[in-house]
Amino acid sequence: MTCEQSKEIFVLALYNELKESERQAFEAHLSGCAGCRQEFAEMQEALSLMNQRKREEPTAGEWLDSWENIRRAIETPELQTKPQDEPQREQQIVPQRVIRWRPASMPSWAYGIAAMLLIAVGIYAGRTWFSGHQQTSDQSSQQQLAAQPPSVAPPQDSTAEQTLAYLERSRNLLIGLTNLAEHQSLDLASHQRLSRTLIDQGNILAVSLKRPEQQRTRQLIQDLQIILMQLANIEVKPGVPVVELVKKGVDEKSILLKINVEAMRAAEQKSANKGPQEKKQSKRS
Amino acid sequence: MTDEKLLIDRAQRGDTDAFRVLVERSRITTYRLAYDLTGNRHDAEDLSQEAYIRAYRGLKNFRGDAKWSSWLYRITMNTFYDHWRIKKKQPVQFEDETELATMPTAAQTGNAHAPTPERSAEAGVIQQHIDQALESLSPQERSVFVLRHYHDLPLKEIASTLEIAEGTVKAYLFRSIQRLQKELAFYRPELGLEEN
Repeated sequence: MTCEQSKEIFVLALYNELKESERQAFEAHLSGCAGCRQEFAEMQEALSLMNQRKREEPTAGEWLDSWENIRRAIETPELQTKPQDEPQREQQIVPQRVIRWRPASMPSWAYGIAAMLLIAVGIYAGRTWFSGHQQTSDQSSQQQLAAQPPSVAPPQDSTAEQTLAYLERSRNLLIGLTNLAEHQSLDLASHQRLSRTLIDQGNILAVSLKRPEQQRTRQLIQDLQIILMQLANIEVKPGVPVVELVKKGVDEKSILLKINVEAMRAAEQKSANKGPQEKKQSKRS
Repeated sequence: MTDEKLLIDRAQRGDTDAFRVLVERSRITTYRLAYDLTGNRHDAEDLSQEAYIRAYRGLKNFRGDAKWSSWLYRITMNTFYDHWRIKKKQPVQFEDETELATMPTAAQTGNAHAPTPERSAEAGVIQQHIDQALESLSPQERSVFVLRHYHDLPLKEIASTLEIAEGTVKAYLFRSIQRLQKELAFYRPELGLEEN
């Protein structure tokens, strides 16, 4: 066996993948070749050092969170990316990642975008379309979270009503966050609980919006779901100025137009649905 | 039909409980592979979650004769490559053996991260240097190395998982060990590994 031939099977020898005949020939070569022997020994040493490597493992609780993220993603058609033919890789599909559940590894610009959306939706939806239910701006976010507005009805048979309720609850959550930025420390746990509830409601709602004319509403809910998902999973750490970033987002307008229009449409639809019912009731009386 | 195949069959029909059992059974291995590829816990959690989401969506393509664990390895790898491609704006492509032979080796490129030999060899520092050494590998080298070294996959299975020739796996593994050896060379005298 030559030195070149021996080096060709170094890795097989290092991981005990040589056939018996190869192993014998390899060992015979090493015993007579100081250069190859040393090179092989150095590789073994490097691998032995690599064996000292340790990994950080997630806790059981973190694993449960992790499964919840997976479950939400696979059970939510609206949040799913385009189906990808795994593992057929020839197409080299660029992944369209919808959920970033670990803000710790979220790029800083993403915080900015999330923040812009948060403030934009909160302020405009609240002031423009839900002013009838507007609470004073100095109310605490906890109050807003705890006391659901009287107009928010439990799920009913009218999709328009459910849409309006969903938008309104989202609005309250986001306005609470905006007000909180001015007056209070962040009660993240409450916001996250409500976010998760809304995510579940949004999932159900989005499934019921199947008609072509509801496409825009579906899109809006999807946008909101992403924001809620980010909020539900956000981690507040020193040096991560979540609230400060929210304040910087006033210029972002695109989602405002959508929520304005959709809230108006949902409100109109709701009153249109109520009209015939009221007429029926008045006839009965 | 084996228990695993039964679960896969149910998951393919949309049973998320069955999928959860499959995830439970493989999650430690998948997380560890993700950690070995990314080098940190947060990215490892992200990567393993995303790999499972892709696996679920790609279940219709899973053939009964394939090995579930290999299939999952491949999806995790591909997810990693995609992130690498986006991060570095360049694709991850394996060169074949002959092309690989013309590329510079660790011995030629030198060691950019090497700490001074005087540095302490305490456990934490060693861990850091081992991680740095792994960081010095290309994604191709790293994936081949971690599959062989930390996941104990034979070269043949790595070749099948990565859909490359066995000779290519061998060449990448050789290069990766050479590079690690170079990166960690300063430990040899400290750990009594220096040959007299």
